[in-house]
Amino acid sequence: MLRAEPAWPREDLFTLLVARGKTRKTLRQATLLGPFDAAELTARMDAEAQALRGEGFLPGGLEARIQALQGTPRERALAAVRLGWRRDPAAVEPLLQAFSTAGFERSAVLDALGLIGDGRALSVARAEAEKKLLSRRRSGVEALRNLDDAEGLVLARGRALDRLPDEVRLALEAPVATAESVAAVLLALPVKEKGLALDSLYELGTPLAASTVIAALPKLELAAPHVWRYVKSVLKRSLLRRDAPVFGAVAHAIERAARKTPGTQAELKSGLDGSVRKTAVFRRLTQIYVMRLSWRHLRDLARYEPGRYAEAAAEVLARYGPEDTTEPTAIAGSLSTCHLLHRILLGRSERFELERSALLHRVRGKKPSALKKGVREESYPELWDASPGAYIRLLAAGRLREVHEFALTAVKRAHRSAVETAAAADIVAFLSAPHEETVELGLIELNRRFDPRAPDLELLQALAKDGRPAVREQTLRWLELAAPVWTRNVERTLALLDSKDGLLREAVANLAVAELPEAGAELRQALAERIARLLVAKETEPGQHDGLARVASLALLDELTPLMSLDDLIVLFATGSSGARSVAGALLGRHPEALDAIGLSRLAALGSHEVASLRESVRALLLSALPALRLDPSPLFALVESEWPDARTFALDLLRSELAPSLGRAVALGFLDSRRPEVQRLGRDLLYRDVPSLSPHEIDSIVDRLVQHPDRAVHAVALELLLLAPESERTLRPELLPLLRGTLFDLTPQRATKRGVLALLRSAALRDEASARLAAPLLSDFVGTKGRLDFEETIATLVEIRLAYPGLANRLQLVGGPTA
Amino acid sequence: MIENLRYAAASGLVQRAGHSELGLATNTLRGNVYFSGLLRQPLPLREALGALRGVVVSDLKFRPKDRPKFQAWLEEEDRRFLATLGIKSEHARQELERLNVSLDALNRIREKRREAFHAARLAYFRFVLENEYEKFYILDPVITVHPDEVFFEAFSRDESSYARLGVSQDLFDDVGPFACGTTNIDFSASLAEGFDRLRAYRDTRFAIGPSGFAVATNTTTATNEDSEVHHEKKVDLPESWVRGFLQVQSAMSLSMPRFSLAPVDLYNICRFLKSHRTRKSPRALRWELEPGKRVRAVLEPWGHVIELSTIYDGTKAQSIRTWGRDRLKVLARLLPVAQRIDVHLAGTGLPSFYVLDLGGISFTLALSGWTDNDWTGGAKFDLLTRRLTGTAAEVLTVYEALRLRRFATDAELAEVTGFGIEKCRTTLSYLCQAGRAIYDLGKRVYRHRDLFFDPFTLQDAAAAVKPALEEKAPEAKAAKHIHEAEDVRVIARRPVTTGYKLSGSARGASGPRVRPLLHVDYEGQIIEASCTCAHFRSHGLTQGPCEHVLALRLAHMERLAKEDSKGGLAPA
Repeated sequence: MLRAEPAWPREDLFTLLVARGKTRKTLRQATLLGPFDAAELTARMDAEAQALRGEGFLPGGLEARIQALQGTPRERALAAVRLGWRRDPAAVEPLLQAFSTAGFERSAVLDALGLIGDGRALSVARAEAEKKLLSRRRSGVEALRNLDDAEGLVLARGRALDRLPDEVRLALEAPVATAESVAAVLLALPVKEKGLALDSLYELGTPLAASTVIAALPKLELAAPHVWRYVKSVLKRSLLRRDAPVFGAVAHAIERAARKTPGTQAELKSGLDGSVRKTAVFRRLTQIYVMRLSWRHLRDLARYEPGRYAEAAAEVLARYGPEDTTEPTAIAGSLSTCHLLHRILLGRSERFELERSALLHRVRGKKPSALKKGVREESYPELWDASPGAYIRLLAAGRLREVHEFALTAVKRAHRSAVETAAAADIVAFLSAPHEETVELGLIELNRRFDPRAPDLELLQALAKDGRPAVREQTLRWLELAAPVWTRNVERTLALLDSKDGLLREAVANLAVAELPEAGAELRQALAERIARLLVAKETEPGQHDGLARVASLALLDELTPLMSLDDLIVLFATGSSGARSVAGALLGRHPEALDAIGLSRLAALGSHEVASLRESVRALLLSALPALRLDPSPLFALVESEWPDARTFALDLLRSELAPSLGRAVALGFLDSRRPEVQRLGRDLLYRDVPSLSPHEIDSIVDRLVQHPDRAVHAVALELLLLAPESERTLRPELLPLLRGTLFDLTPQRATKRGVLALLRSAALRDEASARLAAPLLSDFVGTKGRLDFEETIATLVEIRLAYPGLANRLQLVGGPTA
Repeated sequence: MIENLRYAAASGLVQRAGHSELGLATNTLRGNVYFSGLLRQPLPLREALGALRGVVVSDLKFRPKDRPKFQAWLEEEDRRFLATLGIKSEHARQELERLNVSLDALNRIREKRREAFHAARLAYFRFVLENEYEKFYILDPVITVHPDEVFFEAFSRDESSYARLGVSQDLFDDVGPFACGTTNIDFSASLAEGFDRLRAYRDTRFAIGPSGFAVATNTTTATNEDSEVHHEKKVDLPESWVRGFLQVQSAMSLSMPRFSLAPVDLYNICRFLKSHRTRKSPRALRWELEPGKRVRAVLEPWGHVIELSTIYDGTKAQSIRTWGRDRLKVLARLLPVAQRIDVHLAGTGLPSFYVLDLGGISFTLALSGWTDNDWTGGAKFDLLTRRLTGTAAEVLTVYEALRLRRFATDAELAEVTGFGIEKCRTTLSYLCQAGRAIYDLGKRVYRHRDLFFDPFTLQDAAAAVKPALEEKAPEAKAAKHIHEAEDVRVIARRPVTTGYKLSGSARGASGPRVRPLLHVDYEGQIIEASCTCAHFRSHGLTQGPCEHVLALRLAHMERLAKEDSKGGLAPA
């Protein structure tokens, strides 16, 4: 035995105890050497160890394990597993000898050889990797991986790819394959194929494959026949690879499934002998065995590879969420069914005890007791403290309040520096933690790191990519504070404008627009050139160009104008994204040659286009073409009927203020023919301008047109024109009937118009008989009205007509007189 | 049921130098139907098409108000009240009240600031409503070209109003070659605007065809070439819509009291309704019909009486209530151009029909008993019509005869097919209910109209007849059982000028023996009916006739058929 101890009372010096014996309990010839300083101690220990080996002594337990390789298959397998953990090269030859004679324990022996990592096992591993039997193949491939046999692994990957269903392989090889997309394809496979595909995927050993396994596990029915054996295989692979994330995911998924199902029985074909027999699948014994195996693995890690323990434990803890908790009772807490969590977080607790048959962690005593101050209940606290990064992982990914409290306590106690040195993405992840204190810690740390004069641009970019509302708010505040810095960097600005969050993108664009006038001409030019190139490219998702377009339209038009010719704009307009089209629209107004190239009529038609910036540019161009419009204002006539209010207002204002003198009577009538009230008003104003010069005949022909309009506003104009004539000259014509009948039978008429029509009927009818012939039947039809005023006026007029023209057909019957 | 409509072009009005062209694009997924002619009187047609559009988009069904703002306010008040419950300290309470006042002020400021946003959102929703809604929810009218007229048929969105606009070919000059048939026409909101541009001082060519017009009138379609060249609609048509369309024909062929109105009478009714609103019941329009006296329209609940200018020439005094009177406002646009209005009333709570004569144009508005009672909800008007049995071959023969003539009276068809007139009427009734024929209330003729594009085959005819053989309506089934069990007997049968009056006795599967009374015309259609059963006491005829009335009619029809086979034809 070799043991170093501090040479009391000097703590910088050590003594070295050397003793010999067959076992720890039968040591003799003990010699105390030293004291030595630290450097000397190491050299002396090596020398003493060498001497002991020379005397034929071996590391404790090694010989016994090697001896056990000669025992029963079970003893051989257990010895091999232990030798694998010890990784002593001295065990390689015995293991190889044992492999050559091994039966069922063959895989355990090969696993051990792989873990030791000695090249002598290569040929054996390669041969096993080609086997069809899952256990042997798995051991072979994982041994190759542990032996770093690149050549053997390439062949194994090829075979694994061949085993994968086509759809999974295609999804995996897709250019933008993600863990979620491949997992979705995998989960859509028939049940019988899912398990093998999962295992084969994991056998590939690529980061994407591992992420896919993690993504697929929560949605997979582990306990199903044809699936469970492969899930178990994935667990074993993850143990051999020391793959903490996948181990955490599988161990948690198994525990969760064990809570829900007692397992099943199914007729399954054995991989070993090919016979079909009734097999228990994921029954309770298996569940307990696997859950205990998981903890055993963590315990072995703590013993043999202590540096890996905290990382693996953290990955397991991060998987637990509120859905794993149960309603607490007097004898069991909310986490009583979370075996691994209890082992890791409360492994040293005296408050709970394990009911081994059910792996249930009950409260010790009659009622739950509170945690005593300063007591640490987690297993292997020294290993946690040695890997503070594990706490950060828990804070970033943990979903359970208890897990966050554990990590926060540790961070506050002794690991504040771990937070200060953590990656930006991890701190950002703190902000979405389900524990308020963790969120606060994240905000404090981000605020500490943030310097508006020298902001952490990587951090800002990571925040911008996040997309969660809570993060967005903080990001926007910092972006605003640091705008003078990041807007001076073209790449950063473009990256931020590329954010997938529409609101953030718009805010970034607004900040850039506000800052860019202060930036140098060179930077603006460079940004404009990059934006011009980006806008021509196709959007990968709708709205991607919106931020770029906003900056371009509001801050970089001067720089972009020489960069894009009229032809470029037309192409952009025809094929570009909506953002690109809006920039093209805004730039069009800066190309005076567009007027000649496109032509006034087509340009005016574009004035009603759905892209607002194009309409604006068209308006600018039309204003520059005023002389031509004065000669021929017709291109604007279509614009007054546009469905866009801005286009209509522009055209109407221009016609009213600048072009009115060039508009004739025909145009006025055309405008009056419109259904839009504002256009009708312009038409009326233009018409009234000419009225004094119109002859009665011309007025009549205009009125004849206007009365056919269905709008009562235009009828009112027609009536006004009719009433312009002196009372003595007013007559009725059949052409006026639409106006007269339309007004009388209008359910919601303008009072003045109706009174005017009745007055016109009366005056015209009494003036000449031809008018009376028209008025009498019309009034006769209307005299049945129940409106008092209308009735009185109508009946009075009819009476007057009756008296004025006794010979005229009249519905009115005078009492005592003849009926016409 | 998804109704697919495809148009090769958009319908629209195009104004050219001195003339305009009104092109109605037809559904290219149906047969080739086309027509072209110069409109002689565009203004009445303009108003009629506008009214038709009004029917197509109308939806007056009662829907409880969704008041999210009020609900939010109520919830906020509740929250505030609950928040104050736990507060013991007076100071804290005052502080909370002060903060609430500040919060309200801030909310008001925020609302003010967001006004522009709300306005823009509202504008967007309007745009969506106008441009998208009609693509999926408004079924385009059915148009049929016949040798004597072109007619449009449409059903309102709430399935309570049916409109038929018939335009006589006499209104067209220079009529080109035309193909008779039925199809849908593209009937968008922009087309409705186009109608309003019709003027009499411009020659207007009216054209129906698959190509519509290559040039559209508005700039939106001009720039969006795809939508102009190829325009498709997929309307999710409820089964009830189709059934309703067919029920209208059943209701139309009933014998109903009829009288005429002057336009000013309808004007007075509409005007009063426009200026008066009430939440009190009954909100009915009651027609008081007394032979030889002026018809009186009573607007309830005010009891406002409008005495009409026409004299009722019927033989029996009646008081008929109709509901859903607001639907009449769709006719307001037609009042200035209407010359006469014929009103047909099926009875209290039963459908009413308004046939407007616009001088060569007739506009028929059929209204269900009330707005929420659509044509299919409870009304089974097909049960009121005659139910002699007919074979598929007979139905097909009459269909072919009608298809060749396009329109004909039942007597003409009886002469052509050689069937008895009773048989002819029965088969025509089947055809109406199969969507293969309609009854023209104005001209009192049957017209061929294939509502569906698929050809009418012997199998279709068999399917049309089958419901009669295997009655689907529970009342009809029960009536058949009563008849077969000989649990109905005719106590008295008296021929009258309009048909027969019968009294009988019947007993259903359960319940006591009851006394149905029946007045049927010579065609076997029910004019009036009553019964002492519970169903009739509750619903009258609004849910269709009861099983006892139908059983009595079966017994009568059996007797009539026996007399028919002995050589006697019922007078037409």
